[in-house]
Amino acid sequence: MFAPLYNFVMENFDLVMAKLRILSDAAKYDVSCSSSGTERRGSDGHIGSAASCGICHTWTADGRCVSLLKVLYTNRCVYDCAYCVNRRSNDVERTAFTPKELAELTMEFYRRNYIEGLFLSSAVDGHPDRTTEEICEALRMLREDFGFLGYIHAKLIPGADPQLVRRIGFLADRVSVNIELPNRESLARLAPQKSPEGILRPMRQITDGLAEQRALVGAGNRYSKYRYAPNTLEDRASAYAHGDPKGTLLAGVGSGAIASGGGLDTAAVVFDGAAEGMSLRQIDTRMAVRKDRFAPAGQTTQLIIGATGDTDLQILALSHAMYKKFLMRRVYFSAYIPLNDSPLLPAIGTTVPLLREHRLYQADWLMRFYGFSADEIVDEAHPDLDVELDPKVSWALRHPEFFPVEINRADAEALLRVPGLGNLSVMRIIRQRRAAALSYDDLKRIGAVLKRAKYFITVNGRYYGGGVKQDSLRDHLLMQSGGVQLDMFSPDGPAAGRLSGAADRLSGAAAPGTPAEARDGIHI
Amino acid sequence: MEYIYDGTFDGMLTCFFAHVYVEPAEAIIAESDAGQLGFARRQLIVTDRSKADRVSAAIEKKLSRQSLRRCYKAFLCGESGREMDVLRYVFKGFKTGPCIDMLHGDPDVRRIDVLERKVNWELDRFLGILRFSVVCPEDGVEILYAEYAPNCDITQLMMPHFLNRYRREAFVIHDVKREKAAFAGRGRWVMRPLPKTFSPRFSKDEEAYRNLWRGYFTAAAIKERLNPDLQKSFIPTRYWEYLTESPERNDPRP
Repeated sequence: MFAPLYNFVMENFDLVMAKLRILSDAAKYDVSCSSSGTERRGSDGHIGSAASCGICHTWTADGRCVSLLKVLYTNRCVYDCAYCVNRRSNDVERTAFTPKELAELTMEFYRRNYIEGLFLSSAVDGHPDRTTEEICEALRMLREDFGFLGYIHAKLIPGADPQLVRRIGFLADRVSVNIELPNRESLARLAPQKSPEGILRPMRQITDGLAEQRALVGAGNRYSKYRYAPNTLEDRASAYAHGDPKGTLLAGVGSGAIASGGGLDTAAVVFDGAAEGMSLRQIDTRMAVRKDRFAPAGQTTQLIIGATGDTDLQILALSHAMYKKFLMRRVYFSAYIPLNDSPLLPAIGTTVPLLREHRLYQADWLMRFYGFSADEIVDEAHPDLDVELDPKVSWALRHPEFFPVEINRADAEALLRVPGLGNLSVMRIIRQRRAAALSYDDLKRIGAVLKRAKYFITVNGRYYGGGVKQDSLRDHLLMQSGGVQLDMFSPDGPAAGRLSGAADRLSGAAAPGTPAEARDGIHI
Repeated sequence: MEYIYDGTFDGMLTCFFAHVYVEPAEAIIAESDAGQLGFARRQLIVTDRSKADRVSAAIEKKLSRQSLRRCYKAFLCGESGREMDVLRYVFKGFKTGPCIDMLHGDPDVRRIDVLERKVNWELDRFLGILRFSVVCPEDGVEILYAEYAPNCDITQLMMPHFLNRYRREAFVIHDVKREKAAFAGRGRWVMRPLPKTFSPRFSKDEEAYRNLWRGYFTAAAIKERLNPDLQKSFIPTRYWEYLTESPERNDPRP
């Protein structure tokens, strides 16, 4: 039924090995590796399936998960972006796959259960359309010639023809365009050949394509009262009003986050409180099993952290706008690793802001799964996240009036704001409350992190936080986070320099990885 | 009374039956784990399908179908003493009814929860880190073969996933620790004993693809972010033996 493999890889083993080494080395700085968001059953004669929760296949020595074969199609590039390892002026080995090699390599890796699918990104070799066409051909070969039903994440090349973008959307599960820099000025300075419009155009096209088939209504969970649906409807309506239901239109680009001249109107974005119907996630899953679907796992994007002087407020406001206006499934953060010698960027050898990246992810989680809004986490008065404490604890310390929360009475949304309680423990509390009231010991068994939670709760009216004063609470929690909470991110382990200069020590700490990297659907 | 059974789920349920109708159980021990010595009174329980069915029907009716699944998963975890944990959970459930799974704070329920999560975690992990190799028997038809040694007895739980994924492949998943293997093809599968000494004849390209994968694995690590402890927390060292890209052999540090 489908073509047998060519055995092309084996005939050119040394060549393919070299290409794989160069092109995976060049692709590894892209953070996204998730294989989630699509549920697809296998089919007779085909090979492959997709699990909506995603599956991690291995973990590299930096502790990041490998779910997809992440490679560039080519690292030959016409652009000269200051932050990029593949920029034209860098002296690195250049090469490119052919569609045949790449498709066969993916198939053989997939059969052996090495990978969940393919993550294909690329530099721009010549005109964007030329590279995009080759990527299209590789994906088409996988899907049509080899009957591959595994996961495909394709990176779009800014400036590619809308027709090609559309074709890729139907071949891939997830598509993405990296925004990289959070405002227009940074982009003009560091990547002068790229324009915000070139980045936002394909992004908007995908959003419209998604809205068109109503496959997605945005981020959120069943506890979240903030639903993004109304905006989607507006966008869709505007696409239709312009007589362009196919979504090739640039609807909304003019008002997009970057295009507003770096002014970030996004900080003022108001949440739509209107909520009705099913939970967002339910809609996703149901729609995602349709045939011939356009990017069923939605789109994602990535921001570089620490290459420019942007504040966390700017970054979170932008990522918030990305979730809202572009229906992103994920916004990834990538701590900038200085690889190029450039006067515009941090010098080579500068400490990589891994802890800041970790805090941003925590903030991102709060927005996506805990019902927080960006302006609750950071505001004009506190434009940067506290690197010493996680953003949930920081929020709790700034809002003593909200606490203590009574475990046996408070609603789920209030419980979710208690440091030390996550979605899973909150779900368990709610469930057990239906059968029997909880005691303090029950909370331990439920999995709550009491060493943090105890200062913010009462159980049956009783407070268990002991004699810790409000003003020394921060130091108390800091001791815990310095000594315990972040141990696994510290290269030296728990024994190293406990309590002294926690922040200094941790800013050089090794990577947390993103929590539950491949399974961006559920975080528990 | 200490009951000795054959180590199957039905056998354990038959012991539960005896717990009610013969004498309360103080311990339930699989034959393979039962030593010769012991001062307690012991009785060998022969697995009786009809008794087991009655117990499982009672669990399903008085607790829930979900609870029965939890019992099965907890049973598969392979920890000694799990039989009594399941027994306590089940008989507590007979008192409380279906709300048993809401009592997250109860130590007996918590215990089952812990065992079930252990099985689920390992299952989840092996769906990712199980590595197949292409094997060529005499007639030249390619078969995918994977070997592994999980702590929990999860082979049967993995089959739906791989059957769905490899719709046009024949494949074998070999649990080396328990010396058994699942043989699958054309949407069906059977479990058969297979000695741990079994070693198949790999296809001539197999080592080449393994090298490609190792090369990729090594190149994908970012040197500025090395964190082997974090890596180990995701793939404990006990799983490295059957991992193609075992970190021991692929140290990216100079």
